[in-house]
Amino acid sequence: MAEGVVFDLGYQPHDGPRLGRSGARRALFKDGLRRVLGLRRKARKKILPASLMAIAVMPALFFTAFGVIVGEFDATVELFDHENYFNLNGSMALIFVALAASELLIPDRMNGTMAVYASRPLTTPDYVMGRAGSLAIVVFGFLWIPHLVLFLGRAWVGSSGFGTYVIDNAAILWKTAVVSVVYFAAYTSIAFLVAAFSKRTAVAAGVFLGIVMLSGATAALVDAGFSVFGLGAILDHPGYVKDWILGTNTGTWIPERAGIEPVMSLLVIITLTIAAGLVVTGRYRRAA
Amino acid sequence: MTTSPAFVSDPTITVDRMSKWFGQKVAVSDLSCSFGTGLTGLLGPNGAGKTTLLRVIAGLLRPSDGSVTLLGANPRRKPAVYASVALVPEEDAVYGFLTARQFVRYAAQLSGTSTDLVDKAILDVELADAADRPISGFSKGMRQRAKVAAALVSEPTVLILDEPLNGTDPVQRAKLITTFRHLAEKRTVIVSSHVLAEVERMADRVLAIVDGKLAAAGDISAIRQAMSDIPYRVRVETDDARRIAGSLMTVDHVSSVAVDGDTLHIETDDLSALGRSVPELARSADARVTAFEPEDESLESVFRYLVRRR
Amino acid sequence: MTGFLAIVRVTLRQLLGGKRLIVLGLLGAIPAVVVWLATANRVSSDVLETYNESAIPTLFLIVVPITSIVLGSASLGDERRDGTLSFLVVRPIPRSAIAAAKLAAAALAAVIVSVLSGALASAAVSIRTSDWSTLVPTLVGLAIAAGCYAAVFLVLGHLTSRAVLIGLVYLFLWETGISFAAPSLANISLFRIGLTAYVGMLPESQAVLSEPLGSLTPGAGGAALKLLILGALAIATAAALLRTRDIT
Repeated sequence: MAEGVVFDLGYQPHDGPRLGRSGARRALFKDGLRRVLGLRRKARKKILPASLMAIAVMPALFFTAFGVIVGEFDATVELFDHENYFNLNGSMALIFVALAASELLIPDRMNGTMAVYASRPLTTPDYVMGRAGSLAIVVFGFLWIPHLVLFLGRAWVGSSGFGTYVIDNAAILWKTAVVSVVYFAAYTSIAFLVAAFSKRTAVAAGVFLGIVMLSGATAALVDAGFSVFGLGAILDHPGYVKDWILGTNTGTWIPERAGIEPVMSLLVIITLTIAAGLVVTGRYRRAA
Repeated sequence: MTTSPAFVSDPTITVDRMSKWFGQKVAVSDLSCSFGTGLTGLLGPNGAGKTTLLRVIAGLLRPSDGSVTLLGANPRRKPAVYASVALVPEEDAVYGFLTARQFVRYAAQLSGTSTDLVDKAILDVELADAADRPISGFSKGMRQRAKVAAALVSEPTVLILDEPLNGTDPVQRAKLITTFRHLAEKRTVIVSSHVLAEVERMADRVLAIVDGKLAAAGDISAIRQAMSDIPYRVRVETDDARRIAGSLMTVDHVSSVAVDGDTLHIETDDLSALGRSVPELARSADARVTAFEPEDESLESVFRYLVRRR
Repeated sequence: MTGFLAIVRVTLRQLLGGKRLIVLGLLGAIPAVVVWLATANRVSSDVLETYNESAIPTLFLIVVPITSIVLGSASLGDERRDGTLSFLVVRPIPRSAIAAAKLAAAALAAVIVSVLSGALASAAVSIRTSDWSTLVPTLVGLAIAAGCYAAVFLVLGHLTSRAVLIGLVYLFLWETGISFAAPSLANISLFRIGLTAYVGMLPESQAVLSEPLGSLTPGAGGAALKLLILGALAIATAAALLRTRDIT
């Protein structure tokens, strides 16, 4: 009769704490941050996020320096304002979201690592929220930090004094923060939607930007009297809401020309975000 | 140069002091060898440089130093050479949206050979039943066979196969080995593999690469005999193992004997002398010897030894 | 020749297969829908003006660049990233023939999508005005622009996996932004090569499109010549890269 024996190789089970679902979420979030920022990856993966951040912050630093050197403090405060700044780094954010969203979602699906996530204490909403959360932190920082720099720079060089400026204008900080979240939600919802159904990061980025840029074509329809198409002006909704929140008027936005109220634009963004979240979650439930 | 087992007379492929590095990493270092008609097995642990060597031979990588000629030419300068060359790479180099038949036909069209050979190539790898399904739905073994079919359809003179047996089941593997051996009768076939037992069965000649250098070359038994600094292990089956073991311990060329039932495991540094001693001792002890086999002339033991030496 | 045509055929399938053609096609249909709805109840002169103000910029600045950048980059780039480049290269086909076949396929794919989009938009206008004079200039201009982008991004796609990103940044920052800052900057712009062909064949559009044209002189012949030069350079560069670059 054949015999068998099992040898004790000294295998020890893990006796330490099991972090569970919250630990898995945190790990997913950190991994997302690393992917988006290129941390613990080759240097060239860091070039894009670093360059875009530099471009975004540069004007704020430039105008502060300008005010210090030229000595025209109050003129500097008028030269470049928060509302116009969003027009600049909003465009940067669009490109960044296009690439980052596809980098976050597509490799996991295409490399077959969804099964790894599925075998961990993570639900599908955890996965989607974790990925969105990583992108949210980076894009929010990307959009809002330049405003913080601009705010502090203007407080520094303004003639009213640093403390006075800060106290008098503190509302700018939370308003620009809210606007940054609005921009993030508007862009990321569509980017995630496209990335969830694409197989290649490059194609997803191209299609996303194509959709967003083509939404500008609704201007012609709105001007021809088809006001309802103003709801499809994805590129303009965040800017329109921004002007509403900041109490400014930086352009003739397509929804405005269509007679749509800013709160309606905000509702469109919120609806788009919720709908995208549901669709992407459903898609990943099937993929996992 | 042709007297070393690393070289063949009348080579189709010559590698002359070739080195290849990627940045700081040296993948192949000062390697010289040649390949001719017949099947050469390329052996080595992961990261040894086998794939790099094959890709340099195929002209996909440029040597950092030294040279490689394929059918008398540098393939990077003379793509016409590829009319007689086929490569089956290790990676999944297939077009998922094509069916197997379309993929093999594409290979034939690119190689300038007749598309009449497509069906034969597909039959050779036993993919006829799945030939009209998209490759994206294939298992790993089926993809591997599709790649082999795409290589065979061009009727190459030189066939370079990097881990061609990956993912194949034992029956398919046996069939492919038969096919490769048959092709090697009139062609130059190089196969790299980790499946040592199959390389042993397939290859007339073996090149072992360790850490980018040629560690051994030639016939497996000859390589083993060349390793004179380690004792041979021999297995002897006899009906009076203990008595013969006791006698063997007094013999000079025997370094150790282990008894395991009716089997003796003997270590010796002189295989021929042991081959004379064992029958004499058995006659003296009035014992019968039913088996006398070297235990470590297999490719696996050679391989392990070569890898352990680094 | 068999090999050349085989590469073109398979690459076309690779680029336009699956959902990609549907998605790009849907995107490309938007200018036609927009111009059709926007020109309802308008007189002919206004229809042409609307076409030149809305559909033409959309086609030349969004549809053609995005389509061509994605398809051009994918032509050789996807082969490299999918590991199938070794399958293609270990063949008795000159590297220049492989590069030319890849460019032909990429350009053809980009032209198909762009021209379909342009044809729909032009047809929308032509049906409104019963004047089909915009059709041929639109198709020629778009085809030339698509070919130019495909040529540049064929090479870039082989060089880097970030070609589409670079293309989108170029499109977003340069083509739709900085290049409008001064008339002379129009000389360094791919979409304007196609636009000069369009305006050259439809001179009445020059009044509306003078700003994007900058200091460029309209003319289809010159545009076609630029396309040929870009194409030849792209083939030569891609072939040289196939010859010299390691295929890992």
